[in-house]
Amino acid sequence: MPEVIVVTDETPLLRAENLTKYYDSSGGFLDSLLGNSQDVKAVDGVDLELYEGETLGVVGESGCGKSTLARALLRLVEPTDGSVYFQQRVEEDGEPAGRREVDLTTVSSDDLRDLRTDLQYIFQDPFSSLNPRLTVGDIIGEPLDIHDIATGDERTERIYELLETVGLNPSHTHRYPHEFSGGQRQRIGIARALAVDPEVIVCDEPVSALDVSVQAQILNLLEDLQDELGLSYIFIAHDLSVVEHISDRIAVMYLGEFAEVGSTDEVFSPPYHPYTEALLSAIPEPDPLWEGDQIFLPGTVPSPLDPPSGCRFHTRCPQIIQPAAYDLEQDVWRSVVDLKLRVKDAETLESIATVPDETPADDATSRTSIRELPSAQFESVIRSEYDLPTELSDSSAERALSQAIDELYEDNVTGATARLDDAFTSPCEKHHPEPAQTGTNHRIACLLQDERYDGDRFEAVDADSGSGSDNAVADD
Amino acid sequence: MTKTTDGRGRIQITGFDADEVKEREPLSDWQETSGGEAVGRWTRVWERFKRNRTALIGLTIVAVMSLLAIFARPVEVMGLTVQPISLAPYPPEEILWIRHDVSQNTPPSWSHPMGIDGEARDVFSRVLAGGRYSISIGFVVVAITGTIGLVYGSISGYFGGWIDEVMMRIVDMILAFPALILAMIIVSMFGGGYWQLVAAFTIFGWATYARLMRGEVLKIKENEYVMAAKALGARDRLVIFRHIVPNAVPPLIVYATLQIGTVVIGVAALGFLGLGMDPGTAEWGTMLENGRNAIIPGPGGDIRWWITVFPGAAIFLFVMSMNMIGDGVNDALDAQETGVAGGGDK
Repeated sequence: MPEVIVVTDETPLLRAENLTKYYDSSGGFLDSLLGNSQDVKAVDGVDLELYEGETLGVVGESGCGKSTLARALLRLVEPTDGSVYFQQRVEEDGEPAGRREVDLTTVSSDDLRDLRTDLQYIFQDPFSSLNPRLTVGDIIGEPLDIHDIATGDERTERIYELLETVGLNPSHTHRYPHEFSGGQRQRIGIARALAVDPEVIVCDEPVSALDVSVQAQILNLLEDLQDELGLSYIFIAHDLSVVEHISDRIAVMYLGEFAEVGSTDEVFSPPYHPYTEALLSAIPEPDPLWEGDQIFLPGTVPSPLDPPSGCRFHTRCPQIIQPAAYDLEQDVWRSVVDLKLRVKDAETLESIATVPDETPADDATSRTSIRELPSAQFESVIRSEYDLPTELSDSSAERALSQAIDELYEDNVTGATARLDDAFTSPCEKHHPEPAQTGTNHRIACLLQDERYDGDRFEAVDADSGSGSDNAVADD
Repeated sequence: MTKTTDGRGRIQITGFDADEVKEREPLSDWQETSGGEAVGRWTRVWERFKRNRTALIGLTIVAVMSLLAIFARPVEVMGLTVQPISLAPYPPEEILWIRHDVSQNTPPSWSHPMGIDGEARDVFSRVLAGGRYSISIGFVVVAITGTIGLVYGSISGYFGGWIDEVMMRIVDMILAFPALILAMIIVSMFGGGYWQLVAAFTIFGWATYARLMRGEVLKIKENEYVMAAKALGARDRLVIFRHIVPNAVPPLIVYATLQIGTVVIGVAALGFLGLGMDPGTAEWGTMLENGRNAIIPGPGGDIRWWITVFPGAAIFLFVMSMNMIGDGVNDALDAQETGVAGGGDK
């Protein structure tokens, strides 16, 4: 694969700053009248650069905002905040005359229509992205008509040419999309995007709906087209191996934010963001004797309606930082935080832990509630539910934990929440990590990589800059 | 004994490395000969419709009735005879005993196949010519309401938000009243007559189409090809009428076909209530109204059934055929959506 050398001092072709998209989750105008609206923070302050001729891969779990990011970049959904700058080709008297920076989020709809010839989009689902009522020729010819690129015989010629470019037969022009396979349909979608001769193509999971053998064909086609036409791609995927194959740089996304951005090699080698590390460990390994550690992330992705404070990954992060006062084993500390988070969200004791089912079958209908247990057994049930040892190695931590469990036993959930909050608060919960430079092009948004954080010293640094720490040290 | 390892990449699988694949399979086994000529969508719908026998019978009946109505009496446009053929033996309004040797209330005979009504008019001629009013009102009303509803519903569904909210509340208000009551109000305001009847069914009749269309548009506009068109820079008008409407219109067509029959019944109902055309007009519903007293046994104790049965049968036949066509259209369009062979047709 020919490596595209990324020149860092070059102006990015496409640059997003603080791109944000919130969806209003209220149930209609009555709700919004009553003020019941809540925002789904699909994309929350993403910065990215795309250089000419490169491929930027964006990976993340489903629901982390990848597609929204892609659509907000091209203003197919209206961004809530932030800017997208694009270096538009300028022509004077038909001669190329350099480039001019335009902000996609502020241009008029007419200018935006012109910009559509530079910025194109390939959709995920080849079955719903082609109008079933139009022939292939009409689908590919549509951009030509909209932008008055070609008419008559010239239009027909161009359609034939595009079909050949993407590896289809020109005789397919008069056929309907349903007569094609998934891979062929995706080729039609690519031809449609190419019709306007774009510079940047945003590919929104273009291969995830295709089977593996066809995936490779489409990826190769995209790479060939990149070499031939000098395209730049933003390539969205959830499949790390696909992204590794095609990308020059990779951005790892979690809950609407970038966790890590860097060249493919940098992302795939240490230092890692803990989330990236977990993702990488999940790549299947064909070696039957491989005994590498798979990192299993506990729980589910938190709701983007109310994302976690501080670092958004702290609810699942296996490397969550301990307060300097304690010296617990990492997995024990993780368990303590799990208990704390659960108690925080819990309304009743029953949602914190359930009694293991040891009672005989005839008693199964009347399951004992956790409230009915004696104190000692209550404590052991809680501890085993969260994989906590019978005694924490750190005495002050142990004291706080057992007091909190006692309070839970007295059904004082609020009291226990306060005590746990008091005693066990990770810096990760309080401080939003800024992307920290760890290589020439490599940025990791994790406190572990943050130079502001050094063991217990983080708090001290933070105290100086006050509550505005996030802004004060941004773009370090 | 092989040792276990925690390093990756000890086993290299080369075949799957796309760079290494030199000889690729052809993209598909599709051959020029295996496809056959691409057929347009409406051609395929028609092919499927043709195989539906019930629908074809309905279509034939409607066609025959329409032709009979057209050729019943000569058509004159601005003094010029456009259509000279006259299938009906007598003018529908003519009172026969003045010039012919007939009496009122004669039962069907060879010279008067559907008998003679209480005012000495030939029922056969009246039923033939009566189709002109009933059938044409049905088609005209559906064409107008369907078009209004299509545009209204598309706009409402496509733009959404406040526009949708306001437009749909208006539709709600209209749909809150029974259609026939609204039609009666209009007819009683403007009086009877052909165009008044058309107006009566048009002014409020589009609401259901609009609601139906809006729902379809809401569904269709979520398809990625709509966003693809926007990504290409298409204007709203193009997106609506090229991408959304053609995909949203099939349920509307089915509903419109069925609605023709409903409108014909509505016109007849108004006629029967004396709110339709002028009392003497040869319109099926009005004819029923005129023949109402014929149902009651006369002095001789006989029931003059032919005065009401034939117009009633005409209404029945037409509406039933229209419904048969509607079902056929529904099946033909439905199967198109899924593309499953043998689903909707046999």
